[in-house]
This record gives sequence, structure tokens and C-alpha cells, in this order.
Amino acid sequence: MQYKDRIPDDQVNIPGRHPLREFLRLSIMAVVAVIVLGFLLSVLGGKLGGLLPFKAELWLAERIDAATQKAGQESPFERDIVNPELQSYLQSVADKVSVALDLEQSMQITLHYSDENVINAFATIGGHVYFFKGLLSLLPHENALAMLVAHEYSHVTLRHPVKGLGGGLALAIGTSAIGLSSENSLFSLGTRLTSAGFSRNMETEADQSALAAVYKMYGHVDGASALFELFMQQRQASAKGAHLEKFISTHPLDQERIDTLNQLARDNNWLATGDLTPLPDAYSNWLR
Amino acid sequence: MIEYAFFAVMLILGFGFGQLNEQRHYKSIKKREQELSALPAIASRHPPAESTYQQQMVMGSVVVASDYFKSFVANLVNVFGGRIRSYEPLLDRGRREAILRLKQEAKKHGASMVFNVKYETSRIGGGVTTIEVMAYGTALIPSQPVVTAS
Repeated sequence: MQYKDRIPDDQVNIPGRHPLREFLRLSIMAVVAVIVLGFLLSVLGGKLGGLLPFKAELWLAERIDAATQKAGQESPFERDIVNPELQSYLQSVADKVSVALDLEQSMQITLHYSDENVINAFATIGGHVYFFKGLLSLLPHENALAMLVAHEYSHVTLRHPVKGLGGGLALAIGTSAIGLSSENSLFSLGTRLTSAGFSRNMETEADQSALAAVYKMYGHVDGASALFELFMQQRQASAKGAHLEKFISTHPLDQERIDTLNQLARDNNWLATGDLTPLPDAYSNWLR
Repeated sequence: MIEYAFFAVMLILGFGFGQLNEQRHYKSIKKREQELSALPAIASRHPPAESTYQQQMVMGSVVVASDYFKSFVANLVNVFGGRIRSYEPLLDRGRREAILRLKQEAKKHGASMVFNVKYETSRIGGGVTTIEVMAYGTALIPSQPVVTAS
């Protein structure tokens, strides 16, 4: 018998493909999988969050509050109330809004005011609603203020903050389960998400609910869209093209919002014009 | 942000050095395979019966490490399943290098061939994928008939 040596064949055990091709293919698959999974998780988490009773939401907010204070950080729910008169005026408008929104007894909403010069207002879990001096000082009349308060209150009644938190948490658990996230402490996420934004759908929902409340309060919807006209002016003043903004911003484009609201008013035969209720004379002084 | 930059740098470094090492290694492997082709390594357990040989166990062992790029790609495959193509050349290099070392040892002993060649592979170390490939067999060294006392 003859024994011969065989030089190994290069084509059999080594892949012919370039390693970068493989890398590219797998990376694309991974990115697509992460996006799809992330979307599913946030939708599912949002749905689950919406099922949480408001009582549980309150309890959760208290826990987050206690945990942040224990950690020596600033509580996410604290804002200074500077002026008692302003506070009581805001509260009186908010009370009227609560009635117009048919707010359930069990749903307690806490009003906060911050004298930071930020053009913003937001609602977060536990029924905490924040108004910033920067935005309040720009409001032309009470109708716009009522629209703003009703918008934020609607977020709470529609359970948007807890839905957002549910989606975010599901996402966080998902990413930490596959070891993707380095900041996977649920605690830090909980605090971060209390100030997280809502989806554009949620904003539209809140707008519509708020407009209905404003109509109930004043018998017409005049002045309600002043709020968004204000945003539009501010955005134009900050000189950023609105071209990309539609995709980046979670809020629907201001003009789009105004159009949607006008359409809603027409569909319901709500009066588009009426007497505007002025703000109290001392209003601008309170904000100083 | 710094983590992502670190990750990208490691990926690029891993790919660059990994490819360079692999090409160099294959070049050397192919050259030595030609040089040692006169000494067959046979998997059969039955050595030629007609002649007399001295027998000696010979082995070749090599440890090869993966690089960052290969390991990352392998981790991605672990999600979706399928061939881990990035590790295949690694193992191929390991096996061929182990056989070459085995042959080198056999040649040193004056063997004409190696029989009953077998491979073993094991993973060593915890973090980075590092493999050891060992090949062993029985070297047949031609000799004068050995007279044994009966």
C-alpha cells in the first residue's frame, strides 16, 4: 500500500465570503431586529402601563420620589411655588378644567409651578403637572391658559405618563435582558422617564380632549389655538427650519395642530369666535 | 459616547490586525505544507504490516486567539443562528498548524510517516475566545529489525 500526503484544500473549510460582508449582513439584521423588538416592547409596555390603576400610579410616583430623595438627589416632583396668588389663580382655572374634563374623584392632580424661564409645561406620573414661568408669561388670555392646563390635565386623564413609563420600562428590561444597555439600573430609568416626552399621537389626543374642555368652559373655542400660534412664533424666532422638525419633534407641527383643532371645532359645530376672558390685572406682576 | 468610540476602535483594530495575522499565518502554513509533504500523516489505525518500524508518539499543539472583530461577528451569529464563518478560518488554521508541528516533530525523529492521527480541540480562557488544537499520532521510524529475546 502506498501512503501519500494530501495538501489541505483551501476551499472546503474556509468560507469564501469576505468577513466584512458577513459583518454587514449581521449588523443590518441586528439593527432591524432591535428596532422591531423595541417597537413591540414599547407598544406592549404602553398598553400594560395604561392598565395600571391611577392609585398604583400614585404609589409608583411616591416610591420614585422617596428613592430619589434617599439617594440625595433632587426630587423629580418638586418645584417651588413662588407666589401664593398665582398658585391660587392657576388652581382656580385648573379646577374649572377638572370639571370640564369630568375628572374622576380618585384622580388627584397636583399643580406645580417653576419660575425657570423655560417655554414649557408637562405632565408626569402620579398626576403631577408642571408649568414654567417662561410659558405662562407669554399667554395672552385666560382661554389660552385654560387650553394649556386642559392639555396637560388631559395627558393625565388619558394616562399618557404611565403609558410612556410602561413602554420605557419594557424597553429597558428588554435591552438589559439581552445585555445591550450599560445604564440598565431601573432606578435611574424610572427617574429619567418621569420627564420623558409623549408620542405625537398622545399629543394630538390631549389637544382634542383639551379643546372639548375649553368649549365646555367658555361656550366657544376662540383663543385656544393661541397657544400653538405662540409656539409657532417662538420656533420661528429661534430660526430653525421646520423642515426636519416634523420628524424629530414628538409634538405635531404647530400649524398642523391648529388645523386639526379647527377641523375638530367645525366637525362639532363649536363656535370659533367668542369673548376672550382676560387674565387678572396682576397676572404679569405675579410672574415677576 | 466614549464607549461607542472605544467599541469602534476595537472593532477596526480587531479587523485590521486579525486579517493581517490570518494572511501571514496562511502564507506560512502553505509554505510549510509543501515542505513537509514528503511525510504523510495518516488517519488509519493499521500501519503497514510488511516492514518493521520503531514507533513513537508525536504531537503538535497550537493555541490561537480570536480577535475583537471575529468575536463580535460570532456574537451576532449567536443571536440569529447559522454558520459562524468568522471562526472557521481560526479553527482551520489551528488544525493545519497542529499537523505541521506534529510532522515537524516526527521529522526530527527521522520518521517516514505518522499513523493514527487524531485531533483534539479545547477552548481555553474565559473572556476572549482562545482555542487549543492538538494533533497526535504514532510516528513510524524505519529501523533495523529489533531482536527480541524469546
